[in-house]
Amino acid sequence: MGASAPSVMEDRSSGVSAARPGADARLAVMVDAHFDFIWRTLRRLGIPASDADDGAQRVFVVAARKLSDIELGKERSFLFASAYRVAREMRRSVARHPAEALPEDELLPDPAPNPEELSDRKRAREVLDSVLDTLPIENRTVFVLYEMEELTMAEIAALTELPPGTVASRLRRARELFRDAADRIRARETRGGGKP
Amino acid sequence: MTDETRLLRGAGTDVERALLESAREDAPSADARAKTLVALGLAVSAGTALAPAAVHAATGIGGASKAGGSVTALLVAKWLGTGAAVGAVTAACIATATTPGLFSEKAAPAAASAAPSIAARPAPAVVRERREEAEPVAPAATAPEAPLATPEARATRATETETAERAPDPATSPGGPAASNVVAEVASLDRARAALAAGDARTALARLSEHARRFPGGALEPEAVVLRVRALRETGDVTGATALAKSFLAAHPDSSQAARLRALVGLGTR
Repeated sequence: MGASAPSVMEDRSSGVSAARPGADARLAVMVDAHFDFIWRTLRRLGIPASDADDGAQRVFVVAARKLSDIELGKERSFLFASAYRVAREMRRSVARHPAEALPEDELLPDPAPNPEELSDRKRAREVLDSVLDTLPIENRTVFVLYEMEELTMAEIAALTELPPGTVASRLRRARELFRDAADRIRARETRGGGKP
Repeated sequence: MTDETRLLRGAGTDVERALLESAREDAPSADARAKTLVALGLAVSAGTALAPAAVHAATGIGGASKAGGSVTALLVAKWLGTGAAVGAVTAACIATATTPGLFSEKAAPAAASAAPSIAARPAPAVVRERREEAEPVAPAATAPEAPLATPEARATRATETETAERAPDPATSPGGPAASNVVAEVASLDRARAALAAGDARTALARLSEHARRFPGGALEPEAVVLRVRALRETGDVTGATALAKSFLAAHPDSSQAARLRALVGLGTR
């Protein structure tokens, strides 16, 4: 979209002698096209909703400063890499305050919700986040991009600069871990229902 | 590299799908993006597309206005300007998510080392630096009625960045009844859009009905119609969707959303 959208933006500001119309327009298009993706990426990498707005803003502030270094067409790769780093930094920062620590370093206890609770979307999302927290961030990243953002393996390999084989093995491991957690939840349902 | 079936697409158990689906409604709030645009010293000019209510909000940008006013204006611009030009925000995001060109070459290292990066800096400090890079424009030189897109307005907005980050909920900000009404409209439509994005078309329709009751003849009626047409189609009511689109197009053939409506119901372009 980078090819056509900027011209739309420029059209709308035509007649205005902005200092950097091209750069600002490009940045605005990047925000428009990728803000939701970046926000969701931060969330699924373990940033609480209360901090995701700030994290997403940081990602785009970095992009603004480095705009001239970002190749055309590589905007999303750049933003994603920034989001990954911002997520790591924010998680570390929170972890320094044990009272609000994310369960990154402690092994997360079995979330073990009642399966019926999964019908409550908000509760289910909390469980999802805690399940994802059991995944190492490398596996988690690939899992989120594949299973939730529904990128292809090839797209993930390009986005993360990982060899395709690494993407595949990380995804496989992530799925095993995710399945283990889901199975624990299902086992609880089975026990609750008095089945063997 | 063969892609395996995704858990959400049939490979997962019911528990796995329920967990993954729960994330679908997890989306940024209506004003998160606007706040980022403010922090970047950017605003989206809606140009002549601004509705009177939006202009009312926009004129609060200069002088002694509060950041809440600019956020209000940006929110409106999102729908009337960017939203119309680039398509629904969510749709744009999904569309670009499948653009192969974005992934074709190396980018900044994602699986990077843990070395502290510039990203670790607090955002306000970074923003402040950016402001210093901007052209020096005395705040007093900024006309209160400066349009959103002018460099002067941009400079003014940059100086407002720090307060903008602490901006109160625009829905409760000063900015006049018309402005807050539009903000409420945006928020109301966003709720319907979120339901639709989560695959819950019936809830989306219910929210759109509530929206129509609350904002009869609202400034965002075309966007509401587009959402309703999409939701109707999702529920399988193609006839109803087409009828609604045709009826709206007959009354508003030059609407900003006309092209999208025609595309949605397969009417082609004029």
